[in-house]
Amino acid sequence: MRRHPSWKAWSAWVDGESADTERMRRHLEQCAACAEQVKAIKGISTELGRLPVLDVHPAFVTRVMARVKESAVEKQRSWWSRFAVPMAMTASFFFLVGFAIVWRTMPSGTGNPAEGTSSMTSRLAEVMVGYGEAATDGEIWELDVDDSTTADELLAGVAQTDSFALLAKALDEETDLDTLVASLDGQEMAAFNSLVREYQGENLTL
Amino acid sequence: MNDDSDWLAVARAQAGDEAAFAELVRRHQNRIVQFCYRMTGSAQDAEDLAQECFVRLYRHLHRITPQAKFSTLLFGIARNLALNAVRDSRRRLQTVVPALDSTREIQGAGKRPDELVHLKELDDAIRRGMEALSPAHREILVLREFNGLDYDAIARVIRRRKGTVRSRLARAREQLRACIEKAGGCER
Repeated sequence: MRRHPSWKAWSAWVDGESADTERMRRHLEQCAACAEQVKAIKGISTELGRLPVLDVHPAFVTRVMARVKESAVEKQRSWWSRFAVPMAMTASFFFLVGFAIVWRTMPSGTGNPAEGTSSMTSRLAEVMVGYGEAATDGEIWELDVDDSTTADELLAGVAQTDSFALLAKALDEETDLDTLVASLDGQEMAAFNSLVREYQGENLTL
Repeated sequence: MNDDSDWLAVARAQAGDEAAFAELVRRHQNRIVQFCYRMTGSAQDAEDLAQECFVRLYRHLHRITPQAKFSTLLFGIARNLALNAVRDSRRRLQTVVPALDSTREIQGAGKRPDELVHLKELDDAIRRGMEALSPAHREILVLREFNGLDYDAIARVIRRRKGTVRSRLARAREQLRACIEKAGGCER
């Protein structure tokens, strides 16, 4: 070995992490400068080894275990606060939305359901409320209701979408709406959602 | 320390055996406290960080799957906590590696007064040297010199390549050598 190994190489050699161990050992036997470097590196370890050691407090394990128990209680508490509050808020939200829809679909003035709204409109509103309540996956359901849109217009729009031909038919035939909504798959649910948003965009509301 | 028995204790702790977890803490407390101590320089911070390290281990117990060495996992948690603590202490403009000043901290029993004075001087020199190191260099030096981890284990703890460990360790030693020689440490 003609060249002197670097400080880095000797540092690794001292730790037994060098790939060239034997050649470096032979070099070391003949090179005073490198021997000095190795001595210095070993000296650092020796000096560090002489440093005082921190005594771990005798109650360390007890303290850790006490904190572990506290942590388990906190975890339970945080689970409750993480889920209970949002669940309560979601339930309140759907309740208010449902209430608003029902209130806005009610006939104004006389309170007679025959005036200003059709049974189909109220059935569709029922579907939407039901859908809102069923949407537990966090999708936000919003629906503006006004009485300028006729049920026929809405149903015509619904019928144009193939996936909802069944829904339109069911509305006509007064199928059990809860069962119908429950039978919609994820894709149909998403399409239904987008359809209603489209109506909202065009100010075509119930 | 036997890794198989560590993983066995982990499995028992995962099944709800608190005594098994306490046994893990007992086995590794010294190494983790010493590591945190050498990283922060504060006995109080070291014990707090080590406690937090074990609490975090407990919280994530259900996600742990056996690796090559349990201590690598533990040092990984301790390392993250220690680096955050060092960063925070720098933000608060406090000294990163304060001197050992409590008699409780030094295992001085049975030592002559002149030996204790030398220990104190040496500790001061190394404290200054360690303080001058960047946290990235310090952690490797501590893991190697105080905790005796090999390069592969250090690389896994710090999530860097073995070559990085090699370079940083050599650099840290070079810096520390200058400080120790200045204090006459190596000549004694």
